[in-house]
Parts: sequence; structure tokens; C-alpha cells
Amino acid sequence: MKIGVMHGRLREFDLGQVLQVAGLGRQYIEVEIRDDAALVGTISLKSGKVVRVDMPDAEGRSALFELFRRSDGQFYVYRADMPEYLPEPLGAVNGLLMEAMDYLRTLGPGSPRSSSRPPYTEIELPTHVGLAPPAPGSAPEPYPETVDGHQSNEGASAPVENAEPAFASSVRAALEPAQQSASVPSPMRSIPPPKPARRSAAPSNAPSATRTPSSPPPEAEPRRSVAPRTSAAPPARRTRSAPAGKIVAIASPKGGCGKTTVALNLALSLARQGRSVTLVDADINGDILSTINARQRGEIGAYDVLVGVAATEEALLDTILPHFKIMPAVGGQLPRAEQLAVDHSANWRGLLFDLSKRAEIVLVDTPAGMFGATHQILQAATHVVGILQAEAVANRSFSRFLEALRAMPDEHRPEVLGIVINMLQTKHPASLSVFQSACTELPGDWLFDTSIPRHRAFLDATQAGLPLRHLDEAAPPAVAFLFDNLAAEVVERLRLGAVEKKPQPLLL
Amino acid sequence: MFSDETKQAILGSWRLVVPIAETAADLFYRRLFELRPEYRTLFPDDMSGQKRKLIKMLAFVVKSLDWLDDDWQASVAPEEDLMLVVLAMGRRHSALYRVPDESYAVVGEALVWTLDYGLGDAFTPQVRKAWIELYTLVAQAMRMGGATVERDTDLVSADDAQRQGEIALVSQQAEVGIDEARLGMREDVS
Repeated sequence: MKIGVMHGRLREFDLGQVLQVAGLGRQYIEVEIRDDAALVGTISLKSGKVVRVDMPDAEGRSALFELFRRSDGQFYVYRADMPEYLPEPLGAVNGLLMEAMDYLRTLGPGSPRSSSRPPYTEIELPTHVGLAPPAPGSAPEPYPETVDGHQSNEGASAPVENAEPAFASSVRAALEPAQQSASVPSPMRSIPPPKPARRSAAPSNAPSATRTPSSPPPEAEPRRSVAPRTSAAPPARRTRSAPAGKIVAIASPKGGCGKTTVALNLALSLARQGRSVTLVDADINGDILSTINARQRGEIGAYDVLVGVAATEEALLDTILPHFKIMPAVGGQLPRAEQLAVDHSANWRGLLFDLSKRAEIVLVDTPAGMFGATHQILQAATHVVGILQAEAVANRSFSRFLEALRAMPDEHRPEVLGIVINMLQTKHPASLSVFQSACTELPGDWLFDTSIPRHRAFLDATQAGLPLRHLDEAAPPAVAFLFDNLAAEVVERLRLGAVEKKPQPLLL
Repeated sequence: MFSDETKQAILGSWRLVVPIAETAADLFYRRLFELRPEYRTLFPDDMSGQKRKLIKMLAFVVKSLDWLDDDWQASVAPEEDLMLVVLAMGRRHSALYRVPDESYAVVGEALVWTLDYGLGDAFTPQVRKAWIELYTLVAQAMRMGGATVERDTDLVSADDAQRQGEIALVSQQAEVGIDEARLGMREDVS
């Protein structure tokens, strides 16, 4: 039994195209070439291989080549019953098309198909033996009545008028990189990797606070691959689709070392210094609104924007300062677990780039750890601030921070803006030794001059659900001012322009 | 129809797309409507079903490449046959949705852009070439289907195969590599 699949005119789709499409499938297919009603030849295919070719007076390759010489006539494609015994195939469709092309070329310019147009894909598919423009008005024949009595009742109305011979090449043209460059950002890999190597800041054999002794990195200088802040070459990512402002991720491999506290108080200080700041909470667990005891305020969060159920503006909360906005992590409802499992890299990039158009600095408080969401955010961030808790466990795990950054491709890696030592206890030798080793081990300019001590004011602030400074507006705790210092350092390192100042005279 | 290198490039890169399939579908349509805002009206307001269809169809196309050359004689059900499903899809796009031929090039551009954006470094020149080869052929088959496939040739016509194919796709999802739950799509697919 034969079942008609499609039919048309060779003027519209040439034999090469027909065989390629027939070869996509894995059915046993017969392609009949007819001239008016008369059968000229049959090509049998299975799974992209030409199994046999039959003509009244020829078979095999010579018959196939002969059929390729025809520019006129109709093709009929059927599914047919597979014979009991399949002969060794003549070859794969692609290879045979190439042979047919070669054969037609040897026929010279006088051959009926000499006006070959170029192969339609950039691959090795020279398929296209020439194609004359379609003859308007001539519809294909319906299926011959030999086919199990199935005769089409609408063959004459088949929509064949709009044949576009160069179709495939127009598809290809649209896909070619050269064509894309006008409208599509150039691919990242075309950009040369940035960066000169930086000098080593520490003796390489010293016990390191920040390296992994157990897994020596491949390079002699492990930090070489982490783009230094002083790098002359800009990170490659910027050329792809650059954020409008600075996107600074606050990250640390270990939880509980004060990322959220630093992020919140730093953002507040930056805003008080006249910067427009958006603080984005990306940490579903220990989120900022809980810290300032405003959990109920956020109805929509960053994750709602990420999964596309809310617009960016809807998730932004206003603060008492006009240029300081907060985007909570989650709204009234936690995202479903499966939504969190999805890679939101592109969405984070879209969200953060969008926010960077609205604020000079976008600070992102990331979840603990360097993978998962943090990794996705780091890819979109322009800078990263590492938080190093002055405590032994945090110190040991800090090497993860460097490893994770090193593992990122150059064009996705944010610049290291600096490392903040947090919860420093100067009277505690273990804590102090972390500080000391950070001073010697970290590249010279990574460590911020400002370190944050462990202080009971932080407890009080959390208890009150306020940023430090808001504990007592008139006389904030001394540690609150440390964040002003840190903010000034951040501004300097980000090379932001000066805020317009209006000095006020003291005397009235 | 495709060389082993091409198949491997497609299959390998698809494995990277699966975890971000939902995002990729978002990106794809965003890019498509950026290129041709007028195409937006061809689609329903709620695009979630459409995105799911796109992912499933891509998953089907990719999966249908995954067979060993030694198995070329094995018979394959019509509803799992790439040619029949794609021809039927082409017929529906032309007859039902009235999709213009020139849209195939735009869709291809959006697809390659999405893969480039989504895969980053993994979208090597070889992978790009493989996807372009695959898409070009699928687009050609769709267009051929739109122009030449009979409307009611047989009970087991290509359209029927397409219908069966969609049902088969749902039941084959684990195999195809698409886990609905991971995509956050829980609605019934019918």
C-alpha cells in the first residue's frame, strides 16, 4: 500500500530539495518523478539513504543522475510498505546529491541544468541543481489513480503559486553571522580575553588564607585569571550588552557572615552620599525585609519579576530617601521550588540591566555560596564585593570565592571591587590572624581600608529591625559611620563622578 | 541526513538548553517580536502555551536525530517521524495560521540569536553551523509541506500523524528530556 505524502512541481522544488526533505524521515519513502501522467522514474529512500532508483531503461546511480537532469515535471512522495529485503543502499542523500552536482557539472554549460544556483546551506550540501522560476498558473497534477484509489480532489487548488526559488538561501542569509551583526550583539567569544597578569602579592609558599592548598590551580599564579580591578582592558561582557550603571554583587561562600547587613548599611550610606541606589535582595532565605522587620511590605519580589509575573517597577519599594529603592527577594508568596531550579541567568541579566538604567549603583545581596543564583547574578554583575568573616571557618571557605570567580569565563566574570573584612574581633587572636593573613595574601588593592568589627550595635539594629544609622538618627552608633567610609571607598573604586555639592555656610 | 558531528553538536548543545528551556522560549519570542513586532498578532495574548509548544517541538526535532546509523532499517512510527511531523506542521502554518514564507528566515534568526545568547561560550561555530543546518532543512520541509501536502490524502495522513505526534510527545517527555515540572508548567496538555 502506498500513502501519498505530498506532491508538487519540480519547477518549484527541485529534486535535491525533495530528496533532502524525504531524507529527514525514517519511513520507507518512494519519490516518483512524472512527466504529465507518465512515470519517469522512482527513487526509494529509507532513513536518509537512497535504497534504489528505477527507470524503465536504467537503475542505480545512472538513473538518479538522469532524473536530476530533469527540470520539469512533477514529484509525488509516498510512504510505502518496506520490502522484506532491503538492498545495500546506494548511499546517503547528501553524498549522492554531491555526486549528482559533480555529474551535472561535467555536462558543461550546455546541459539543461547548467544554471545551478549556489548550494543553499553553508554546509556541504550542494543540493541545488538549478531551478527555473515557476511557471505561473500551472498547478501540479493530482495523485495518479494508481495509488490505491486515492485521488486528490483538490490538487488543482494547491497553493503552489508563490514559489520562491531562493527561499532556502534567504533563510540561510538571515542566519549567517555577517547578516546578524547589524541587529544582533556580536557573540561573546569573538571578543579577545581581557587582561594583563597581575603581580603576586604574597610569597607563593606562604600558608594562604585565600588559596586552596589541596587543589593547586593550573597556573603558577592562581589569581591571574581573576580580572584585577586595575585591569587596563575592560571586561569583554560590556561590549555585548552593557549595563547602564554599576551592578555590584555582594557575595561570600559562607552564610552568616554579614552579607545582608553590609549590603543594607552600605546601600544606605551610598544613598545618603547622594548616589541613586537600588538594593536588590536575591537571597530568598535571609532576606533584607526581614532584617528591617518589613516582611509584610513587600508584596512582589525580584523572583516574581524573574519568572515574568510582575514588572520591575511593581517590585521596587520606596524608602525614606528619594534615590534609594529596595527590591525584596520574594513577595507574599514564595516561588515554587521548580521555578527556583530553573537557570534564570538571562532573566537576572535582564532585570539587573534594567535596574541599572534607573540607578547609578545596583547593589545585589546574593544568597550564600558561589553557585546557583549567586553564580547567575555574578554573570550579570559588573563588580563583586567579597565578604570575609574574620573567623577560621569562613576564612577556610573563602578560597571558594576565588575558585568560583576563576571558573567563570572571562567575559562573564565581574571585576573584584574589593574584599570587606567583617565581624573583626581585634582582641581575639584567631580573628586577628584572619585579618593579618588577608592583608598579606590578598592582592594588595583588594582589601578595603574599612573593616567592620563585631559590635553589639548590629544586634541592637537587627533587634529593632533597622539599619544601624536609624537606631538613633541624632547619635548613630559609631560603627554606622564605618559604612560611610566603606561607601566612599566603593565610590572611589567604581570611579563614579562627584555628586554635585552645595556647601552651606555655618553662620546664619 | 545529518552527519554524526552535526548530530552530536545538536544533541550536546540541546542538553544545555533543557535546563533553561523556559528562559530560552521567553528570549526567543522576545527576540522574534523585536525583529518583527507585527508577528505578535499571529499569536494568542497568553504565550505560555505557545512557548511550551515551541520547546516540545524543538525537543522532538532534536530527539528524532538521535538514532544510530546501524539502525537505519528499523521502522519508526509515523507520529515519531521527523519528516511527516514537520510537513504537517508546515501545512498547518500555511493553511491555518497563514504564516508568510519570509517568516521562516526571521524565526531562524531569532532561534540562532536565542541559542547564542543562552548558550554563551557553548555556542561554538560548529554548534552554530549544526543548528543552522538543522533549521534550514526543517524550514524547507515546513515550507514544502505548506505548498505540496494534500489535505486529506489518507486516514493516516501527515496531519493525523501530527496529531498523534503531539500526543506521543506528551507521553514521551521523560525520554525527550523535557520535564514539565522543571519548566514550571503544570497545566494539562491536551
